[in-house]
Order: sequence, then structure tokens, then C-alpha cells
Amino acid sequence: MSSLADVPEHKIDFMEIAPENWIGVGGRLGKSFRSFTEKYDFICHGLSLSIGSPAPLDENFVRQVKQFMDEHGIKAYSEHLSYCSDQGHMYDLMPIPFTEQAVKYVAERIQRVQDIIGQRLIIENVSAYAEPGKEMEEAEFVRSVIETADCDMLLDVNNVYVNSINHGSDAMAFIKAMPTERIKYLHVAGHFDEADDLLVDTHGMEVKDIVWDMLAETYKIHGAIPTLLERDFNFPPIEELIAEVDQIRSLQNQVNPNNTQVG
Amino acid sequence: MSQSEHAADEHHIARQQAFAAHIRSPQEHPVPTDVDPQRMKIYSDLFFNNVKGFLDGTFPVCAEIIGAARWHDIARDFFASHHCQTPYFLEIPQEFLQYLEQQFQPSDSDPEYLYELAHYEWLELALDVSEEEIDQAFDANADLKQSIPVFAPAAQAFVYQYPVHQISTDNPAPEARQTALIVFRDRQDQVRFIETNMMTIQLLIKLQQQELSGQQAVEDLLQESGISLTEVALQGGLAILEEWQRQGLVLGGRIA
Repeated sequence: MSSLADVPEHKIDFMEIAPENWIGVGGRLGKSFRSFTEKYDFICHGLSLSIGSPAPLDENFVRQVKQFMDEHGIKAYSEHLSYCSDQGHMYDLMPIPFTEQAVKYVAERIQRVQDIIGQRLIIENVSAYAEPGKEMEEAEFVRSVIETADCDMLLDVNNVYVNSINHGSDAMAFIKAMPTERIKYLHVAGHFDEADDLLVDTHGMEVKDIVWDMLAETYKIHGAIPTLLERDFNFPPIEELIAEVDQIRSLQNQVNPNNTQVG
Repeated sequence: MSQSEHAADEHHIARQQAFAAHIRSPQEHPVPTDVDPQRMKIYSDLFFNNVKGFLDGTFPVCAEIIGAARWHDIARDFFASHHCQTPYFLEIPQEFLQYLEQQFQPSDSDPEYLYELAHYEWLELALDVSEEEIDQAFDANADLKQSIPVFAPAAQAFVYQYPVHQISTDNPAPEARQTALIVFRDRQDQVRFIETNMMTIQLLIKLQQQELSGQQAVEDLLQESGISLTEVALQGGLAILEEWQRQGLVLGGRIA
């Protein structure tokens, strides 16, 4: 985090944190975290909500997230359209079967979360390596959940690409099918090529050219939506990450020349 | 199988349970019928390695002492059989301690001190991120005899049956001996341990539980322990407080 602290403020418009990594954290890490929340706008990007879990929704946890957001002035909460627990937490994302029953089940839980946090939850399309119990296309599933739950969306462009390779689907058709007015922001990230037909969403590499092209197309379809670059490990020098952020800005400016940054 | 049971099995919840069960324990639970085993292996490996990474990071001495193969088996059993209730990643090690206490089946070769060593290693993490802060005003140069000592954040004492702080691959089989440790976070936010004795721990606990000046606490403790209140004994007690101040465990004093 020390090199991130030296980046000129106007280079970054907003950041994301996983509330699960920071709730209840004090000491040197807590102090460092607060120095960032005082400087930048943040979005809570959750990992443990397990919105599709077989287990009951952990409402106490949702209240803790809300309190954390209030404490740090964080205005939005996004989560994965996924589940990460059965009777206990498993700390990574599993695919929800694309079925009508699951749409209803997940949408009800999203609504309960929205009642507690007093605002719309932003749900993200996830990358997956399997599609168990699939009865409809992913695009239809995601759209149905958003409509039924009346929630917002985080469109992860890299995940769309990863899934298109892993499951042989049409990436741009998925992106076109998403409801423009509900897309609050985008993710781009790097992935790892495990095999010709299998990509793993690692967030450990630079963004691939094909994903940059898709991002440019996404802006043409849905507008110059705020976009977050994800990088979770294998960090290059900070300048390389900032160059990727600049690339995002430049693609946004191509569709919306008025979207220049003040500062 | 009746028709209704079959329908229940097709429910998305049942599928999700089966998917998760295989990830937890690929040996015990079959690959879901409509998923390619190779794809399923991506999941089971990713999940296990993620959880094991948290254990490796928090318990490096346990892992080294017990050896990679046995450590791997224990991590596997933890992931398969323990239902972690915390949504917080930094609390996974705490769940592991619960597992060691309640579910773990030690083998003959596992050291008897395993739980204690794990607890000691976990303390480093627990104090590093503890939200405890000192919000009282204090005078760093106060006379601890007359004022109420103020302790560093998260100061606590633990008594182990083994000298856990001395265990390493060079010293993997120490004799059991009662070991009293005080742990705290110093002014630079570093976690510190002090080896001490039972009597001294009593002094710490007394000062944390009651609003006493240094002198009053020492006098009370001597009296409760049946030690006659001599000038030498009093000075001995006060010397401990001064030593704690030098070590950073005591930050200073407040007006009594």
C-alpha cells in the first residue's frame, strides 16, 4: 500500500475494498486503511455475502457491512451473483444453477439485503468453470435476477470473456443483453490461460487486448460507465497499473469526449 | 427413489449442496453428474489452496514442525469437516483453533503442544489487527507508584503448559513447563511478547480490572498472596511496573 499512497490523487477516481478484509481491523492496517478512505471514494465489494447460499442469509453480517459503510462514508455495496458457503463459509465463489427457482430464491435474498442496507445492492456477473443444473442462458439468469430483485449491476467484462471461452457462449451478446440503466460500474481484470478452452479469473495479470476491445465495445453500447481495474496479487510497479487506469480513461473519452477528468 | 424425492434432488439447493460437498472433500463426495471432473478439480484446488494459504500464513511454525505432508492432511480435514461461521478472512485462523480444540483427531506423531503453539502463533495476528486503542489520557512520565498504570493496547496474559515461544525446528520437543506470557501492541504498533511468571500475571490482571495506583495494587497482591508487606517486597513489585514501562507494556500513568 505504500506505493499506492504516493500516487497523485487525480489519477484515481475511486477504489474498492472487500469489507470482509477490513471490518474489525485496527492497529497499523486499520490506520493505513483510514488514510485511504479519507482520501478516496470507495465502494464496498463484498466476498462473503453468499447471496445464493443454501444456508440462511447472515443478516447480522449485512448489518455490520452497513455500519462499516456508514463509518467510512462508503456509498455503494456490490457483491457476486454467486454463493460461497454451505453450512459454513468456503471463502470462494461457486456457480448458482441458472434456473427459475434460483432466480426467485436469490432475488428474495437480495431484496432482504436491500431492506437492511436501505439502498440497492449491486450484483456482479461472476466467472465460472462449470454451469451445474443450467436451465437457461447466463444472460437471461442475470437479467431475471436484476428485474425480480430490482437491484443494480456491476458488469465484469473480463468475467464475460472468461465465461464465453469456458462455456462457448457469445460474449458481446451477453454484454448487449444487460440493462444499461442498471449498470452502475464495470470491472476489467487480467485472467490466466489454463488451456485453450479454459480461462481462470485470477486478477493476477495485465488486462488482455481482447478484453480491452470488449471494454471499448461496452462503452459504445452502454456509455462511458465508471470502471474499476482489478488486481489482487502479483503486483507490478504502480506505474504499470496507473497506465492501465489511463487506458480505461482514454477508452471512455473515445465515446464521451466530455468525460475529461478535472484536476 | 419416488418421483417426489427425485424432484427434490433436482432442486437448485440440492445441486448447490452437492457441488460444495465435492469441493470440501473430493474423496468422499462424487463430482456432480453434469460437471466435467477436470473443471470440478479447478474448483476443489482453488478453494483448498485459498484456505490453506490463510493457515500457512498464520501458523508457519506449526506447519514446519509437523511437516508438509501432515500439515496438508490437517488442513484438508479442517476444510472438509469444519463449518466456518465467520465471513471475515482474518478470522479463518480462529476457526482453525476451534477445529483443533473440538474436532481434530491427533495422530501419535503429532506434538502434544500443537494447539498451544497454534494459539501462540495466532496471537500475533489477533493483536496486530485488534481494534483496541488507548483512549485515556495519560502521562508518560508519571510516577507509577502514585498513579494508575495505563497499559498498551490489547495487553493480555496467557499461561501455556509448554514454552511455546521457544519452539522451532531446532527445538521441536521441549519439556512441558508452565509458561506465562504477556502479549501487547507497542507504540509502533508492533506485537510484543514478554515471558513472565504467575505472580506477575496476577499483578497485570489486578491493574486491568481495578482502578488502583501501582503501590496499592502491589500491596493488595502481597497481602492476598500471604507475603508480608516489607519495603523490599514493595520495591520488588514497583520494579516490575518500571520494567514494564521500559518494555512498552505500560505506557504511563493516570492520576489516581
